[in-house]
This record gives sequence, structure tokens and C-alpha cells, in this order.
Amino acid sequence: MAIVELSSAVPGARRFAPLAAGPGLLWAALAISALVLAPIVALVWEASHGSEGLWGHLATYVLLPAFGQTVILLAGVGAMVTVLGTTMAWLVAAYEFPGRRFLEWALLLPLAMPTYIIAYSYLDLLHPLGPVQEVLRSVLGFDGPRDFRLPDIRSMTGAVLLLGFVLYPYVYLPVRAMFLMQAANLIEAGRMLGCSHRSVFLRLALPLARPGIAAGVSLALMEALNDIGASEFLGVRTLTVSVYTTWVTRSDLSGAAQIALAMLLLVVLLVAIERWARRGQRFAGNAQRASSFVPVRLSRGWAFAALVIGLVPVVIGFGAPAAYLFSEALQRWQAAGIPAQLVVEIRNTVMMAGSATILVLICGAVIAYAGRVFPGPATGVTGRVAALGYAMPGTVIAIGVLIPVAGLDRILDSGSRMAFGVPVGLVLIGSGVALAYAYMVRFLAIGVGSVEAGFARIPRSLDHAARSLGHGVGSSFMKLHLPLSGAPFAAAALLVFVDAMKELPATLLLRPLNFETLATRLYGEAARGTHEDGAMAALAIVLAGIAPVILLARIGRRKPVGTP
Amino acid sequence: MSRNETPDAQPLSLLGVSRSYGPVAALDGISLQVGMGEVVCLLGPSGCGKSTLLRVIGGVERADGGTMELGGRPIFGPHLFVEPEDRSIGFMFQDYALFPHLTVAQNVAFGLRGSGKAAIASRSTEVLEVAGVAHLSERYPHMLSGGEQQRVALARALAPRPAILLMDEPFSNLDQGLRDTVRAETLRLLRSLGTTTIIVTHDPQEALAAGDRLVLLRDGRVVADGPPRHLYQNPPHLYAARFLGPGNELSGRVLAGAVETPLGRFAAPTLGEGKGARAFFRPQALSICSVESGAEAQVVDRAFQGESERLSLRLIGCPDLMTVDVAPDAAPNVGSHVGLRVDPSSVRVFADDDPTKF
Repeated sequence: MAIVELSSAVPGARRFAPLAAGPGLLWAALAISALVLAPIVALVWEASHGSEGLWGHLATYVLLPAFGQTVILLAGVGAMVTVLGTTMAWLVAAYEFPGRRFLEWALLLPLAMPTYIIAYSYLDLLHPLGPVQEVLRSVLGFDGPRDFRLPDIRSMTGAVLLLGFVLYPYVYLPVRAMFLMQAANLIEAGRMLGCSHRSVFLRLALPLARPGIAAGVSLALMEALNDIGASEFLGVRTLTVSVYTTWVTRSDLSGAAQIALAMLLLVVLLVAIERWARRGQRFAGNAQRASSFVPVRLSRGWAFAALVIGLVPVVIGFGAPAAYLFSEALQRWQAAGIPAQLVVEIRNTVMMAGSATILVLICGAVIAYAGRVFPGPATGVTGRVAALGYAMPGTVIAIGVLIPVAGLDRILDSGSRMAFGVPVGLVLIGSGVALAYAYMVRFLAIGVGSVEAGFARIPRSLDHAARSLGHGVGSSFMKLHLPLSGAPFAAAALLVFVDAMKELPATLLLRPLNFETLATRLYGEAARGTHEDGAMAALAIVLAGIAPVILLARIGRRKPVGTP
Repeated sequence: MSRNETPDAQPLSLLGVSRSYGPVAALDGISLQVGMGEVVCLLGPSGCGKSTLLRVIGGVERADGGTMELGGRPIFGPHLFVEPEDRSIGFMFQDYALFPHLTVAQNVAFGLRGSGKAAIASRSTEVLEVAGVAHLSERYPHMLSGGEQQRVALARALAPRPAILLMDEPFSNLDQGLRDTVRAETLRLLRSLGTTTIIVTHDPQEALAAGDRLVLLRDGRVVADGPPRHLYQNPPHLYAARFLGPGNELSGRVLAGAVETPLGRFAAPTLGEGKGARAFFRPQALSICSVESGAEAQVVDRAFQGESERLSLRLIGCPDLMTVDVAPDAAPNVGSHVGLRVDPSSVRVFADDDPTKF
């Protein structure tokens, strides 16, 4: 009988492959955190060893003006993204008009437009001899640029406007989510207490969305601080530009490190301001009481006005530059086909972004899984350290990576010379390892965040069940966590790949000699003033950038769990 | 029945096992021996440490101190921690923890490793048949009913022939009607297999019905341990008496080796003279009679319970309310006076200042 058979245990029937993955996992997580921290430590070390004679000069003539310019830029961009992001979010959340559903996701499109590409596009579009001014002149009846021209886009105002029009989605996205999910009940209560629909926005919705605004603005400002192309093309000498020129044109690593440290201080300040702006409030996504926010239906005239208002940022931040890039790229293609150079650049870009993606996924999985298997102070620290990189501007990471890697390269080179009599040159920088490392530091937060979010949906009891059924830490991951986290891994891969592809400052500083990616090629063309030739590269970046926007739009549309 | 352990080795032996969360001791020096084929119920209120104890035995949580042996093999000690995957323990979780991306057959095969493919397949089929869910083997967990999930989880835990099966509130996710039948079936299966089992539950009814042995926990300590029937009838202290089921209490003073109550004198030979004491007895020990042949009491309330009617009565000259179950058609009206009688052999007397009084 089967029952009797069942109870007769065969000795050794249950064998286990001894897997010592446990402690190894923890050490790997600690090692990754050390890798993330190394650039910061190197920066501080290098900055403190800087040549003192030069420092005074640097502080007076480079750092202070750059600091001032950066603060003005950030203040301007911050104000602009707040206004643009919250009004657009309110427009599509509170009003019903034809085209609203389209605007809901179209308003995210500017995210696909890197800051340096929008600047690059508008330099041409708004050129005194460019299409916009030509049309304006012919409409207004002027003969030539001598008689009429718009103020130069190459100015602080231009930089604020252009950055604002591509960075506002960072505010729009969380604020719209908060309007839709959280405020509904309270706003209904407010209306019953006698608030008009319009005053509800200022008195209730806006204060309620404060945490979302704070988080969004700080993200947008991190991006603005990270920007190198737009500021430089538009003639704004920010800290990022100063770090770059101090290192590239003056070869003053200590000076660059000192400016980079100043940028880090600014980041700390930003984070502190964000915390302060969110004080006493939390994102309390109250999913159970999801009485949905009923938008007000607008009459025909107002509906048309709403659509036009909503289209303005879409057109300025995405439509116009994308159309410009497309027509330029089309002209080049018709004239000369696809240049061989572009193919090489695409290959380089895919290779670098691909290796960054793999690195980030592996390291992110290690950090997230270690946090799950060994919850405690150690993994708490590794998790937080892993998220640091995203707040650090690309130039800061690049300089921080450059210091130890260049030192290591010199040691390797002289070692090879002594041992084999062969100079190997700068292997780590030359092979792209340094750049992949910088990408890993900068984008690790995306990997850890996505994977952690995926893991959070797996009940702990599944882990324990796998362990009690004889699977060790490593085997559980392969058979349980990995197959159950397909979607989060894919999402993380997409985000990291596109972000790495768009990344400009770190790529500029750490790429191997004569190695061009799409982004650096575009920068080179723009720096030489030969804008048009970069159009294909720019278009390729923008097209790739649309993929994560679609992903974000889909996530944004998905209703919270438990709502019909 | 042949086992690979030596017959005299206890399948599970715990000595002074403790576990603290900060200043809170979840387990405070637990010692426990579980015999071969025994079904032990760990019972206690929420927060008493029963689930922690189960997780510590399973190795998904680490104890702070003490030693543990499984089948004569040390699995935990001062410098020893055997990982859960190396313990030969079957664990059944409250939510069943079936892997959503695997079929029923793959779930069951998950714990079978190191033997050939054919051996794994035949073993999976075997346990699925024993658990009565072989026809579901190609389904995914979300396609199963609660009762089916429970049986698959049981089959999966038993498949690798664990030295001991640990079940954490295994029936609490089933609705009331299903719970009793599934519990009875499960226990029949476990007994016929001779599986050594620990079941954690917060439900005294379940603990009384399911276990060969009942272990009552409180604040991380074992406060009672014995066969369920014995513990129910002879609780070692008032806490166990109250926890295991409804009861009536009368307080009084010890005089000449007995405590005097409105329902009579009950022997309390071990209690100090003049001390406060409490007589405890189950509702079943109480019966109603004519006013003349018992202590007079007034019916305060009656609650119809289907097969019986539960009466609340106030003894004349005594503040305590008594509970008694009577046949529904024999129930007196509220306000009427009746006599109350207790079977003296069912009465237990506890001291008021008993150190084990909680």
C-alpha cells in the first residue's frame, strides 16, 4: 500500500548540494557598496590634496561664478517645472475634454528628450536664419534678421525655459498620481464644505500634492545639475561645465575634484530641501477608498482651450524638436544614406549601455536579494549606499571614478613594463571598464529599486518554503525569485539601458580615446557648430528614449490593487 | 515501519531555546521533547511565541540561545546553525506558500533533489495520490480551491520524507465548514504515515481535537504540557484552565483543608490555611435541579445554541455568574429560580496567590 511505502524513509534519499551562497552574498553586497562609495572617498581625498596655489584662483574665477550660475539655473528650472508640472497634472486630472486621454501620456513624451538634444535642436530651430524666425518675419512683414530677431536662446533664460520644458514630467507624473489616487475623497469633502472647483486646486489639491511636488522637483533638479550639453551650448557656465573644462582643458584633476565636491554639497542641500518640503507628510496611497476623482466636463470653448494649453509643453518639449530632428535626419539620409560612422557609434552605444545594464542588474539583484535574505543593519546600509549614485551628477561620478581607476591604470602599466617590458597603457580606461563602472554607480539605484519592488510582491513564506524544501540561498534565487521577477528585471533593464544610452557627462569624461557613442558624437558635432550632422544620432537617442516613456505611461494607468 | 533514526533517539529535542526581539523575549528558555510519530499542538494566545518557536525549529529564524537536536543530530547550538535547507524539516505555511509559477506536480517535486528524474516523478505521483490531489497535478496554484491548496501544500511538505512536519496554523485559511473535515482528514493521514508533527494553533478547540499532546505557551514559556484530555480535565493552573475552554469560578477561603463556596466545600489539601482560593469547574460539571436539592440561583440570561441552551445564573448571595448548558426544551425562563449542583470530582481548586496564576 502506498501509505506504508510513504513512511519508510530511504536513508540518504534527501541529499543536499552544500551551497555556501549565504555569506558570499553578504560579502558581495558589501563589496558593491564599497565600489559605489569609492568615487566619493576618492573625490574627498583628491580635493584635499589639491595644489593650494591654484585653489585660490579656481575659487575666485571658476567656482564662485559657476556656483552662482548653477543656483540661478536650478531656481529657475525648479520654479518652471513646479508650475508646468502641477498645472498640467491638474488639467488632465480635474477636467474632461476631448484629447485628455491622449494628453495624459503625451505630456510624458518630453522625458524622451535629453537636455542636450533639446538645446541642440532649438539652437537651430530658433537660429536667426532658422525656420521659426523666418516664418515669424514673413508673417510680421519684416525683410531680414537685421529688422527683427527674437532674443538669443543662448542665455540663462533660454536654458531655464528649455530645461523646464523637458524636465517638467518629473513633477507632472507623481503629482497627477497623487491627484488621482489620494485627493479624491478629500476634494469631495472640500466641495461639500463649500469650496468652488477652482479654489479646490489652491486650497486642497496643491497642498495635498506637496510631497509629490517636492519629490518631482528634486528629481528634475538632479537632472538639471547633471546636464552638461544644454548648459554649454547655451553658454551657461554651470558647475558641471566647470568640472569638465577644468579637467579636460586644464588637466587639473584636483581642481575638478574640488568643484565636484561643491556640486555634491549642492546635492545634499537639494535632498535636505526636499525632505523639508515633505515634512510631516507621507505618500499615503489609500487604495481601499479609491472613490475615483470625477473630472469636470468642459464646455466646447473651454475644452478647446484646455487642449491647446495641454499641447503647448508637448509641442515645445517634444513635438517640435522631434520633427526637426526627423526632417534633418531624413535629408541627410536621402543625400548620403546611413553613414558608416553612425553604425559604429550605434554599436558602441549598445555595447556600453548593454554592459552597464548587465552590471546594474547583477549588482542590483545582489543588493536587493541580500537585503531580503539578511534583513538587518548591514544590508540596510548597503541598500542605502546603492541608491546614492542616482543623486550624484555624472561629472562628479566620472571624476570620482577617474581618480582611483587612473591610479590603478598607472600601476598596471608600470607593473607590466617591469615584468614583461611591455607598456599596456591605460587598460581600464581604454577598455571601457572605467565607463561601465561609472554607469553602474550612477544607475544602480534603478536596478535595486526595481528588483526590490518585484521581490516585495513575493511573500516571505515562499522563501522559507523553498529553504525548508532543501534549496539553499543561491538555488532559491534561481528557481524562485528570478522566475517570479521577470517583469521587474525587464523594466529595470529597459530603464538602465536607455538612461545609459542618453548619459553624456560621464561618457564624455571616461570614454576610451577615439571612442564615440551617439551621445558624444552629438556633443562633438554641436561643439563644432556642425549641428545638422548629429541629427541622426539625436533621433536614434530620442526614439530609444520613447520606450521607457511608454512603460511609465502604462504603469501610471494601471489602477491600484483592489479597485474595480 | 522502518526509520533511519535509532528508535530511542527523540525526533526533536529542544533545550533552553530563547529568542529576543530587542527587550522582548519571544522565546524564554523553551525545552521540549517530541516523541516518534507524536502529533504535538502548540497552543497559546497571539504573541506567545508559538509561531516564533516553529520558525526557529525550521531554521527560518535564528534562536539566540539553547540547543536543538533533530533525529539525534544537533541542528542548533552555541556555534552551530544548520541552514533550513539542510535540516530535513517539512514546513507547512499558513498561506500554504505554493510557488505560483510552478504546477502542482512541480511544486511537489521542488523538494526532491539528488535522485533521478524517474524517481522524482514517481515520488511526486505517490504523495499526490496519498493526499488525494493526483488529478490536479498539471494545474497551477491559483486554479485550486482553498482545500485543494492545503492538500498540495501538505503533499509538498511530506514529499522529501522530512524527519518532522511543522504546521503553522494550517487550517486557519479554510472556512469553518471545510476546516473540521480537512483537519480530520489531514490528521488521519499523518497518523497513518506515523509522521512526527508539530501544529501551531491559537484555537483551543483545534488543539484539544488534533494533538496527541498539547503544549501551552505563554510569554515565550511552556506553561502546560500533556495529553489534551488530561490538561482539560486537570489543568495545572487557572491560566490553563481558562484558556482551554469555558468554565465557572467561585472564590472562597481555605478553612480546615477545604474551600467553602455556595456550591459546597471542595478539598484543597495543599493550600495554606486561611488563604484565598478559587474553585474552577467546566459548565458540564454543573447541572440544574429543584431549588430544594441545590444552591438557589436566578436565571439571568439564556442563549440558544442549537443543540443546547446556555444559561447564565446568579447564585443567591454571591456576585459570580455561573454558566451551564441544558437541553433547549428543559431551559427555565429568565428570572425564574432554580437549584444548582456541581459534580465535586470535576472541581479544581487553585490558590489566589499561586505563582503560576496569571
